[in-house]
Amino acid sequence: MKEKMAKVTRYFNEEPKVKKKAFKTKNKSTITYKVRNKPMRHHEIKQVKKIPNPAPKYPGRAPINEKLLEKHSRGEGIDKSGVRTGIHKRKQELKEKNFKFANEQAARVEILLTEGSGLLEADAGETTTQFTQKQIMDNVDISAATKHFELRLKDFGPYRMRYTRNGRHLLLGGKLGHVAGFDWITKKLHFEINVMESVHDICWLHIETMLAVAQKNWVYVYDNQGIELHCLKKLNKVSRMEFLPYHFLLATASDEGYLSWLDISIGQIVAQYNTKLGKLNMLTQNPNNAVLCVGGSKGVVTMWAPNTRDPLAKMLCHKTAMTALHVDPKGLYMATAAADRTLKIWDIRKLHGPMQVYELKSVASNVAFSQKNMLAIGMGNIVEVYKDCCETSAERAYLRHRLNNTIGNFHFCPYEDVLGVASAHGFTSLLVPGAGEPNFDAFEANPFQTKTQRQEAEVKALLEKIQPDLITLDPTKIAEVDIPTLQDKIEAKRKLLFLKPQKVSYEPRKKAKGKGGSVKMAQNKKIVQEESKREFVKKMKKIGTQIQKEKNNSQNKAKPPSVLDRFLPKEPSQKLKK
Amino acid sequence: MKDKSALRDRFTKTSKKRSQLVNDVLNLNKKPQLKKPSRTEPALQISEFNLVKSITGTQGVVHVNDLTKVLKKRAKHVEIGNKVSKAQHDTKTLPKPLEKSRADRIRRTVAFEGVKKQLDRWDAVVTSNRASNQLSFPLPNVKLEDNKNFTEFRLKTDLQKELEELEPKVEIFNLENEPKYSLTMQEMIERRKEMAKVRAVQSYKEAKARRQSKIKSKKYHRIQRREKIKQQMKEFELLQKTNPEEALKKLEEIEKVRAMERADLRHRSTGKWARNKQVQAKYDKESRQALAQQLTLSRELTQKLKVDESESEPEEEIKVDTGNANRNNPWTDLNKTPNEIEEFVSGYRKFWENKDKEIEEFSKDDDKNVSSFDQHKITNNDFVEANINKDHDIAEDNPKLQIKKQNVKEENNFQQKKSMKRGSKHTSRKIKVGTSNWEIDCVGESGDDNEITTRDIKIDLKKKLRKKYETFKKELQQEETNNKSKQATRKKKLQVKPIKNVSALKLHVIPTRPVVKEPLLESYGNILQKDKNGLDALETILKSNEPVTKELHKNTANIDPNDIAKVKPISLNTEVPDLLAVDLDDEEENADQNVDMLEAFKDDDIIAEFEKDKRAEIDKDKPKDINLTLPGWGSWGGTGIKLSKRKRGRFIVKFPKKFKRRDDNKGNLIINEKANKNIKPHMVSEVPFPFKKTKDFEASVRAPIGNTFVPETAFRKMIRPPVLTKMGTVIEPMTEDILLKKKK
Repeated sequence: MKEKMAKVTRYFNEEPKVKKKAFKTKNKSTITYKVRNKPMRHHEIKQVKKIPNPAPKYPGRAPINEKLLEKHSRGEGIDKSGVRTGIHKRKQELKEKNFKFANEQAARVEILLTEGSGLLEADAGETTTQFTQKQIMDNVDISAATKHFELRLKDFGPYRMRYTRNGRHLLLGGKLGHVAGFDWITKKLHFEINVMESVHDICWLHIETMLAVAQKNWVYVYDNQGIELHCLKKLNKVSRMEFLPYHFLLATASDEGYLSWLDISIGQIVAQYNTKLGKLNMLTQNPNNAVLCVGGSKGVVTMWAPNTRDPLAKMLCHKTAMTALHVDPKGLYMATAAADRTLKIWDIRKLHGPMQVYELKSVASNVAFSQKNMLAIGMGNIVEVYKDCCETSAERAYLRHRLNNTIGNFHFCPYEDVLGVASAHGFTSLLVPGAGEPNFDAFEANPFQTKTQRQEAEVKALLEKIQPDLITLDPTKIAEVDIPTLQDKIEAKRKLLFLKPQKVSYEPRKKAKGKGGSVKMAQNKKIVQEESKREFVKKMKKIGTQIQKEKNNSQNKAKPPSVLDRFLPKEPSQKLKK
Repeated sequence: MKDKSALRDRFTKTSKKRSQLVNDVLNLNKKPQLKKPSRTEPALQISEFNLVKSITGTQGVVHVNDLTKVLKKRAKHVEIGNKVSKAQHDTKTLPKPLEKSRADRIRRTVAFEGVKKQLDRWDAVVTSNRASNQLSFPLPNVKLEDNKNFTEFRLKTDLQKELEELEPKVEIFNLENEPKYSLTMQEMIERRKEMAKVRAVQSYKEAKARRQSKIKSKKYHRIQRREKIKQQMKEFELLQKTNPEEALKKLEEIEKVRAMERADLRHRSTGKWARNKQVQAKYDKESRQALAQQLTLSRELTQKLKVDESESEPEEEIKVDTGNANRNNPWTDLNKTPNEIEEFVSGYRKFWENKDKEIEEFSKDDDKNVSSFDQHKITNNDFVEANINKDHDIAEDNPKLQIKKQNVKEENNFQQKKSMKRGSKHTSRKIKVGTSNWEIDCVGESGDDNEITTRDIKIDLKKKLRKKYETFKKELQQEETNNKSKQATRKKKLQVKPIKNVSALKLHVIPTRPVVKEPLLESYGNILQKDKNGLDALETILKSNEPVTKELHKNTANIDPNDIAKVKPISLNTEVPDLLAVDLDDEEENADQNVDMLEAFKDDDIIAEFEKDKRAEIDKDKPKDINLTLPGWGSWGGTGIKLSKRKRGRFIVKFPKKFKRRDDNKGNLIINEKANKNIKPHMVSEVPFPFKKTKDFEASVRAPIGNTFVPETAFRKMIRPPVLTKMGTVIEPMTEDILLKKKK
């Protein structure tokens, strides 16, 4: 009762005495504030009187950590000599100043990220590999211990699972039609249905109230009550699904080798085409650039965007058929596994690698990266988690867990130290200390989102939706200047050869009677047309001669052969002859 | 001389006739003068035309001194006379005011400078406002006068009100009465001073202009000209940096001036110096050489400086060019034999000899007939021109012969001229104008060496300019074309129909003669589309600064995927699963069973296939040469036409064979280079205004501004509105109070 009272206390009630005391203890002489109800104007005299700290640790503001500054840095600034006119120079300077301030501020507010990621530390003579889930559970706090659980669902397996982007909700889909969504932390079930069809993949859409299920023939969209919202018949026989949150695209790969992108904000297919790779059963997205990565039976990873029917890049990763691939949440590394029991880590930004090659004892059927770059590898009924395996080579597993049935798929839960494993007979949530990002950006993905926040976020995300055209290998391409390449020039030149003078539609004015008859008008028309044609031809000739000149100049400027040329790699034609 | 003797003969005749004659003679080289007014009857109205001539200071007819002479007779008036003469001695007549146009110009320049100075005071304020990130209006009132603006309005308390009521009302007088005059004494004085200053400056300038106009020194003018050229150079250089388009215009202007000069340089050796040399040439070898040099120099000057186009044009065309050189021009035709030249010159000479004879005949009865002077003048001019023309040939031909003959004529010519000089100044001057208008003459007087050096300087300057022009034009090409294309699209009232389908333009297989055809579209929206495929767009692409050579490079060889620096595989001690992975789609057999088989077949197939793929991809992206040969074109038709190798080579449009690819040297990677096509319309196609290089522009947009990327405080700072206005207030224009006042 007392507590209740305290809660209801309002400002007009008497304030507790303790608070007043605390206020009094403050030294009044140091700071005096005058409250204004109007916003301050810059020319007005500020009424805040501040006395500097008499014994400061630093002469001014506390310095910022260099490393943090570098972390938030946006790269080198503008060279002022490259800007015309003094005024614009000054403007750019001011702009640069703002960027610098933003950089510093970002580095400063890192202090607010109080949470640190956990870690398993083994004593001497122990390894972390030998710790079982039970041991871990015994040693963590109660709230964390509740995060390890197991669901035994024997009837409708094998299962597949997905977490939402904020890691709060879990979606399970059994092969035999069992679909269930629930808040896995509170264990509150949203819905549980049987779609009475085979379920091949499941996927959350932009919010936790909508989900897509790839069923026997088509993809269906349900809400979190289990009510069917849409049946997408254009997405036929889908085997794998990925949702691109910033583009609002549901990307699907089908049994027949088709990739399709469906814009769920307008409900239209953006692109759909055949990859000519046969059945697609490995699909993952690169979160950095929203490019889809598809693993193939020929050891090649192909990257796809909705803009072009050809892959953006093909990467020969393995010499045998691939079994699994995943890209880390920051888009830095890609892990691929193949039937020859190897596992490779690639630098996916440079499309370069492999950075690490691991030989396993058995074929990895699943791989998954966590937010802190831990790598989970699934082999049969065994899950192993590796730490620091990208830049440095890992020696032994960080954690190992043996299930009593084979693994369907698994994902690390965002912002939690949890690995969710869907298996043939249920779902297991494993504790992996240090796997998730401890600090979340509530504007980006908020695990504690309220309903209104979710609604707000949805609207904002829709406003900031990125067009599918902008999906490229290099997401910063949009900020570059389009400079025509040599290919473009050649293409232009070729076009120039066959360019026809453009026809001119000219309707002569009708003049007063007697001034211009039909003959005169026809003549005028002809004159105008001829003139434009002549002009066109002249211009074309001019361009042609200019190109010729340029060509000659460039030929003249060609480098003389150097003695060191012999050390250059040989041309392919020469190589073939040998 | 003849005139004088005639006068003596007639001296005895009546004075009336004599005076008439004197008048006639006087009027020979003067405009008909107004007659002196002869006093007849006293009248109230006196014609102002009569007054003009009589009152012209010391030169006039009436002199005050004459009057004072009369006064000297009496001692009483001597003083007055002295005073008058002294006054006359001390005072000077005001100079004739400058020509109206010139005086106006001076007045304008002085006024302009004043206004400029006034406006320049605002420069600092304007630039600071333009450069600032945020301006808030109304502007803060900076006017700070002693407590005047700080009468604060305060609500009166009840007590105050009551007290006020009790107190007797005090009438408030405005002690400071409004000033009678809008300006204070000091201000008035200042203004007067300013006015006086302006007037003084104006008068200085006028005096200077008057002085300069009187200077006859050729050297002075030469120096001035040189300075002018230097000034122009400087201005041009400055313009080149700041405003390239304007600079180009200026260059063209300079070019034009030069062209005009070239066109006008007809008279080469007709100056005084040249004529003297011609006289001397008979005996003196040096003078002959000097003359020849002079001629060659003049030829150099008149020739258009040829841009070396041979570099840029193919060799074949050059040959044709030399063959078709202008045959009528003896200077440019290099193929002519000396005989031909000789013939040409002799024919020319004959013609002029005939002409000379005619002139001589004409000049015989010249002196008697005064009225025929005008005609004579013309013929004389012609004569001089004839000499000039002859001079052209001197260097070509044997100079001795030529000069001998000429000397005879020259003497004739001189006599005529002398007579003319005596007869009338006017005509003789005119002849001079005809002959010595050109710098060749004026420089000729000051000496040979000097002359050449100055000319060299001039030529050097011109060459420099030209060089700059060339480099500069190249730089500008793109900008120009861009502008042109913009203008063209703007100006086009005619609707030009675009090429619509891009795919039709692509050439997958080499066609013999493909033609882009498209239907006629007339809607306005298509004009925008047109830009993508039209000539202008192609031009901009082709002319972009990126040099072709950079892209060509030799090491396109791909490293074999097998050769990739192998990372040492680490074998992990993973646990062996006791349950094998069941493929969810239960289609394939167990993977592990396959492993042995896969290992047996690995490498060979997959790698070879990938390599093949890559080669095909590279080949696909390579442009193929276009063959435009038409068998039988340019040769006799018939069966069995064989194309000559040369012709075939000429009609094949070749493209570079090697390209830089992003996946070069990466054996296990194929990157699709054409994938960026869709994003191109969203990209910036040109470096926008304040930036010079792409790098700088890209640096300016490198950092995000949105609050999802930067801290809120920084975000707020970045999106501050550039102009703040206070609602419900009048925004007054800036006053002069904002300027910093100079201390007096």
